[in-house]
Amino acid sequence: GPLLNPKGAAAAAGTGVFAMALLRVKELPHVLGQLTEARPMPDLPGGAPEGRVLGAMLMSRHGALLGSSGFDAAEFEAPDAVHPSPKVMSAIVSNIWAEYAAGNAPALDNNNNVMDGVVAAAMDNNASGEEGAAASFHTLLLELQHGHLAVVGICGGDYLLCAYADEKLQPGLLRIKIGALASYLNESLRHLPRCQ
Amino acid sequence: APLLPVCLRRPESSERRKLLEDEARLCGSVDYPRSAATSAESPPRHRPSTSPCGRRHRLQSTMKKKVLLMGKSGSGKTSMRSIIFADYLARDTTRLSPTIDVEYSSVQFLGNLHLHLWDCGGQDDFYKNYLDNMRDHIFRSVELLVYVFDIEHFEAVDLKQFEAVAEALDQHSPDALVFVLLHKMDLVAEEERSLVFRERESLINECTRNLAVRVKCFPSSIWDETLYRAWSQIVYSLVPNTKLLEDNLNDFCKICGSDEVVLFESTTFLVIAHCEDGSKHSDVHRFEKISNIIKQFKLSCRKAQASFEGMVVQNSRFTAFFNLFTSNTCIMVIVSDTDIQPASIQLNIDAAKPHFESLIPQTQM
Repeated sequence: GPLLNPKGAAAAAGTGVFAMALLRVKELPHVLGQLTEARPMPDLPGGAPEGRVLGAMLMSRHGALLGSSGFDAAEFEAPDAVHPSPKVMSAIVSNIWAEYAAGNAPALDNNNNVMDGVVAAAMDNNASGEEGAAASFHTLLLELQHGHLAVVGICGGDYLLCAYADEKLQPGLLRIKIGALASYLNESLRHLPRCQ
Repeated sequence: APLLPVCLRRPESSERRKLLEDEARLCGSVDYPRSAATSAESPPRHRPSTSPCGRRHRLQSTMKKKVLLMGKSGSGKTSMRSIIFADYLARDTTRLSPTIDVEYSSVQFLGNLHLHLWDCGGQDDFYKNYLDNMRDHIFRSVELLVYVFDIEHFEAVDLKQFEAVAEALDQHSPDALVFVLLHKMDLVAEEERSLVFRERESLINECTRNLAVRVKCFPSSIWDETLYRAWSQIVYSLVPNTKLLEDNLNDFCKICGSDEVVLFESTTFLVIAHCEDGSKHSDVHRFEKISNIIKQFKLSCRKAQASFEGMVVQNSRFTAFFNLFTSNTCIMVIVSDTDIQPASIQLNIDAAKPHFESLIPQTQM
């Protein structure tokens, strides 16, 4: 279902409807579930790609969690879990994003779309990231010990979409998946009043 | 103890004066001439004050609505005032003369609504004075009159005084509402309360039978929730488009997946609008309890030189959000669904503010 209430979205789009635009909070986990739910893969030469997205979350710029999907307790909250917990993830991700964003403001093309750029960094050995040729970026890809983390800025970084996948999922595919959802979120959430 | 009323006895004039002088600094004041208003003098005129608030009041003077609070001296008006309006609202007072014990003060709430408190002495002279000399000045453009009766002093003469006031009101503001509070009901034995109330109510309705103004009676006592309930009704009646507010609040409630959303007036914390999603809450007195608690908390914040913006209270069963909402209201949102993240509710509260801000001024016309 739509992420914003339809009347509110219509009002915000300037159709003359008098209504407030609000986030349908119960819908958010389902929207994020598009990343985490298993989907039938088409028949490809070489077999279906392996790996899956274990958890997806949407947070505010400052790391306040708005909603999430996946992050199965058995895999993330158990004492012997190898993956970082969602809380830790959101705190660290928002900090890292702020660092990179401070140095690299996203560039906009002629249609005010954020241009694609990729920065990959290794989180575990403090190696300095190899920055993309373009000075701008909008997807952060982090290779962790047991998985890959992708972060995309939504609405110019007012919100952050974050997806954590097991190590079998190729980073490129993760980036495509998160990019698709990011476009949808950009379109939906831009109608919310900017109060931050 | 926070739930006990501040005034348990009639305050001394010096105490009263100090109490009110402390708050006179807060906002613009209505100036009255200090000399005795004898029949030779003209009625007090409203002089806009020079403070910033006063200038704002002058600009909005055409939108000001008057709420009169009257009643025999000792009926409990000051006590009521400190409970409902707490101690920190803009007021101004002056004495008419040393011989006539009258106090005027003005309390602002719900934006541009001014509650004019006329605390009058028991002398007949005084009543004669303002019913004759200041009649149209006082009774003109009145939105609402709250008249307080002490249930133990309900003689024919008291009823006559009320009748005179009601007639003056009827003459100058026939569209006004009259709320009659039969106060200090706690002094009546519990089993007799209903009967006593109905008897008095019929006497009051009898003497206002031929008037255009609409009269409604309430029992009240500072010792239970009846005072809060009566004042909630009063404030509720001052917000004409409550249906519009409640419809929007309902939308908000559903979209947030919340259990209950309440809109409080931000000064008195009286309920303006309220909606529940699903099962009814068992405690019908929760609003006055919350009102008391938040008001005390606000007061403590003030003493600590901090201004109350909002808070989130979380326990195992629910999360409660309190936020200053529009310029005159505070919103409370209760969410028990553990899958809903607090930040998303906060986001929606912020997103809804401009919409409600545009709704509420309309309801004050």
